[in-house]
Amino acid sequence: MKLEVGYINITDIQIGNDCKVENGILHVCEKCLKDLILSDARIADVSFDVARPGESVRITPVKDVIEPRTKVGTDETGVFPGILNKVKTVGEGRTHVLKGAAVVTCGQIVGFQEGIIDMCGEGAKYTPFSETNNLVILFTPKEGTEPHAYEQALRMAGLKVADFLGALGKEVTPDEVKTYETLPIMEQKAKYPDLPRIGYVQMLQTQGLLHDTYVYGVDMKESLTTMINPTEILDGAIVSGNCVSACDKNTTYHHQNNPVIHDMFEENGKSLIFAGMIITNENVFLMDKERSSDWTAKLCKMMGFDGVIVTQEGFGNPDTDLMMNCKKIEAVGVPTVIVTDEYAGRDGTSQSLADVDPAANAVVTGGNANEVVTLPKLDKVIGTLQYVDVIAGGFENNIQPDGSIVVELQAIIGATNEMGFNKMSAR
Amino acid sequence: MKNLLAFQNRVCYIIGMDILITNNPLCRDHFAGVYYVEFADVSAHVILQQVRDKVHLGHGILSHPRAGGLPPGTSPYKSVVLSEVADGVPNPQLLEIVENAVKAYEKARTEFPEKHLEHFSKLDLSLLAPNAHKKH
Repeated sequence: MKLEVGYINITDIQIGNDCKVENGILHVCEKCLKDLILSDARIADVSFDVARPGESVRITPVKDVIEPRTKVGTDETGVFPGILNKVKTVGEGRTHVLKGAAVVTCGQIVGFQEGIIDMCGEGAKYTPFSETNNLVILFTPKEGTEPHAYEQALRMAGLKVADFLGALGKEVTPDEVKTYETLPIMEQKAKYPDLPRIGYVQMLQTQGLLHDTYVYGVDMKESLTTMINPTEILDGAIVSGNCVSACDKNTTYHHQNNPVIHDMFEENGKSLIFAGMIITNENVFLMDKERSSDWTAKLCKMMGFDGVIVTQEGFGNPDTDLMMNCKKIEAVGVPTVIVTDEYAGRDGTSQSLADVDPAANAVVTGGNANEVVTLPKLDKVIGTLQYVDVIAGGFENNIQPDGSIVVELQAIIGATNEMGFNKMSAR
Repeated sequence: MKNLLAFQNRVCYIIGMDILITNNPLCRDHFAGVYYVEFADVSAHVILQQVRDKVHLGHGILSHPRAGGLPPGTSPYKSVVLSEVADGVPNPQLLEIVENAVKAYEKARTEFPEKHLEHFSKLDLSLLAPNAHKKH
């Protein structure tokens, strides 16, 4: 499959009277977006704000971050297939991306877990979304709306807006065009006979209500471990629907820009063959974990991988899935490198994973989510600080007299991302 | 209602259904007649200790004791499903999982703001509800 991606650099977002992309500026009309969102009866009201890199702005509680993308061409495919647009296979043809712009959905769903994005200061160092121009959507649910229905409404509204904005870039000439191509197995081997065939196993958060991920609209916890072409994910085949700890949840933006996929494509045909991709789930019941990890290992063997990278989402219970995957894949003779993050206590001395195995002998860490940081008082808050004491990574009385907030890195969106998208590094 | 729940629970016990250990009233009521429910108004840490004791007796764990994306001490509620079969031989792998969970909750806080209890309760239920039909 071959996908051409045209990146249109966006340097600012302006709320005004019309919707267009002009000279790198994304203009949005509030009324158009409102009409789009308020068609959902579960949402009582909605407002918009823009947060730009370097501004003294804090956004919280953040639910999801989505990159505006669109399919370009005459076929009927659209981004976020099966959940927003027609359920047609994506990952081929051409896609345009409004690079540097992001849609941030913001609202209290369950009173905890949703995270913080700081656009400047100490907190900005830890989240990649301090570097994007963010169109923030603030939702007020209809009274009596259940949290899971509200989450679904928010998720759909975010996708609708990202899809709508992305479409504004259909006719715009991109600043850069990149091609991502995967070959059928036999052709891979014939073209690069001496290179190792490396696979990618992506684990998706699928524990239940407010902990789910959707693939072509399918709730992944109901799926067997399966295969997907990496270019499909660049077109929004995977959508986040979860509200787990902010630091290591994969937002939809993370999926659209999965760094493992990007880096593997960079190396494809040079040091390795990007031989295939497997997606699996992280369920609550142990029989599901056993079945899914059995299938992961089986598919790795069937694909004849010479090695795989395994990335995780979340922590605690998913550490068990990670270890099951790792040890079973190693047991079928395929070496693994796992990507995770750590909960090693504030001083970093506790056991950092809830489950371990000797087979996990090559580990990349996204950092210690328990590390404590002090976020300075910022001039403006988009959303509310009402929940920063009960946010995962927050604690009681953590707002200081000078207005600064003491939190663990857990509270910051993407701080210890387990696909390697985070900004902390030993490099 | 209380009598009905107690009756259903009794039936579950007699016919040897899987066991739910929980401190969440919502789970207690939702799973009445589905599991043999052992409810106690205690902390999540104590619930995990009760689970550990049962694993020592040879019960299997069916749902992961650290289900959910919440760090220990974020939610007051904990619900774990165990198999009805106790063969007296503890499974070392399950023991390790449950011991790690108990350890993780040792220092977890036990006081929680009243305003969020309902949310926590619903979320805890949601982790088990979609999969409750599954056996081991």
